[in-house]
Amino acid sequence: MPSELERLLREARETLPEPDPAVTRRARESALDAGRRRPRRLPLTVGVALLGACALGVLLGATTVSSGRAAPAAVGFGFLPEPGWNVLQTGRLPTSARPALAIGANVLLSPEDGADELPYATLLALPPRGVVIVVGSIGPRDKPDAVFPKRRLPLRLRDAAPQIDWGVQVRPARPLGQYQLRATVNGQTVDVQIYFGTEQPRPDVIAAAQRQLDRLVVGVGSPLERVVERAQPLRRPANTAAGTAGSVIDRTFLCTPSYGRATVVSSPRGTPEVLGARFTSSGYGRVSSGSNADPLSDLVAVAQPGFRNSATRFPGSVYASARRCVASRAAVSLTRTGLPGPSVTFRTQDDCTVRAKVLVRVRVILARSATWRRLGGPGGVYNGAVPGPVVEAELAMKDSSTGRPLALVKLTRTGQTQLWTSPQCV
Amino acid sequence: MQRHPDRELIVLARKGSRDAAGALFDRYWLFAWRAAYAVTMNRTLADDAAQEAIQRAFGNLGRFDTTRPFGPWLKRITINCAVDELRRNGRPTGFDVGLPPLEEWAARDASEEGLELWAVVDAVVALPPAKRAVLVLRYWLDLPLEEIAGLLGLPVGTVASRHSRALAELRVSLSEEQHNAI
Repeated sequence: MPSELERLLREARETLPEPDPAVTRRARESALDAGRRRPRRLPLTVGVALLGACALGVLLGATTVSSGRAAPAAVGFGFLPEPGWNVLQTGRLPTSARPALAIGANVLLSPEDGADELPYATLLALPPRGVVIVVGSIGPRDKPDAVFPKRRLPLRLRDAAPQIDWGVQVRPARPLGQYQLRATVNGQTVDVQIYFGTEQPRPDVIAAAQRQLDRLVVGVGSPLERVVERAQPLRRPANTAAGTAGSVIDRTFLCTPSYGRATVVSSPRGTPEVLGARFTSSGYGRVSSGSNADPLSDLVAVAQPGFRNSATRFPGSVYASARRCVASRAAVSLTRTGLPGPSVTFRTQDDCTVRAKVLVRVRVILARSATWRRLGGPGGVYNGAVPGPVVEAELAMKDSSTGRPLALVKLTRTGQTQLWTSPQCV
Repeated sequence: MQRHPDRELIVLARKGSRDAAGALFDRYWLFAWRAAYAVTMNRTLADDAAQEAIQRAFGNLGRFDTTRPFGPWLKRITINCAVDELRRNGRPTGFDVGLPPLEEWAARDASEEGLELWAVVDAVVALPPAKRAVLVLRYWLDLPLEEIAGLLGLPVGTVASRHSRALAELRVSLSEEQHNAI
């Protein structure tokens, strides 16, 4: 007799995606053509197929094998720029506490974009032949695994998979071609995101992207050439409007944690979650009632899209429990006054003892406009604002009965976090 | 044409009817693509495998025994193509889970049951490839263990033990997820 798990397994296949209409059209044509073929034409068919295969091989070769220069032995982390490309990067070798980011673009980077964050302004204005490659790393990895398999430089675009990161298309109105390639290179984690200005980039554009990817430097080597922080200066693109944030959510809630304890968690992007490397944080800050066994323990959370715990994936970006929190007009300061420093930038979790209730204020600048609405949640309902990504967010908590500040979390658009807590929290 | 049984469509398609071939394609394409995706867990590989399978099947309609059902035959071809595609690409795991657009998800699947099913899919995807393949073939493509053994070139006993270990691992993984829920 099938178990409950087996029933769920069978039903889960219904969540599998569907093919793209363009692929369906092509498949339909080829199926109908295949159906018309006659056996006596086999030699001709084989000939045509061989010719086609040769042509395809030439095309693939042209699009995936670079004619550019491979990166020479170099130190650091980042791109050596191809002619016509701009690079912007943190330059240093990454560590888990100080992740590194490298950006390569065949367009001028917007001055709105920094070296340590996803270049949203550039992506929003990316023309059809534009390419932006963003490579992130959180430093050494003990050993490669299925998520970050071992690969050698130069990385190959053909190994990348189409990827809408956690369901978020950066530019829904004019979709980008978004691809992802993960690897462990020279013992370092490497997460490559490739953005094309169109969903179906032309072969010459793909080839150009491959040439820049060939020039990626990861870590070790003889210091013949050094990756520098900014290989080329930023220039403001002519006639390009500055990127603007879509909306600001600023709300305060009065929440009732269970057992007189409110837990504040800050988890920077890329940090392994509870189950180890299987789930890594997308970058979030949250206040919960402190009970890990209770899936409804979250009071208020703010996160880069993809916020998930081991059981649940939320669509993004800010949430409040409809069961434990109510809207409040009380004032909660978004400053670290009363909270001793310095801030903690790695994943941390502090339990704060409270008398009864906590006031939690969340202020989020979102890259796209968003409305606050009811969302489903595990076993209940959360209120939340759906579209991300988060440009900037702050989450402050104070004890409602004493008025003392308890914690302040800051979240950046790259998913980095800072946390300050009061001595009341341990 | 849409209501004709498979057998009639196949006979008509053999005689050169594009309408019949088109109707047969429309009936089975999604099925074939999802089968390829279930095996490869990668859109690009699934596209290639499903197209190749459907081309092979339609190119061989003349030799198809119409006393037998079309669906299982196509499924077998598709799975073979998908497994070949994985071997050619040397990557038995893919992580393109193919999430639907954000708004679509929120509107359609934001139910407790929906989230539970997503957790199951995530847990299956996270399994080691050898175990994942057995579960996918067994539960998403409804193959008996004997057939899975043939497909993967393994003894049935090995497949059976992988099947039970994979289920156990999945059970543990899902229960840990429950307990570790934030």
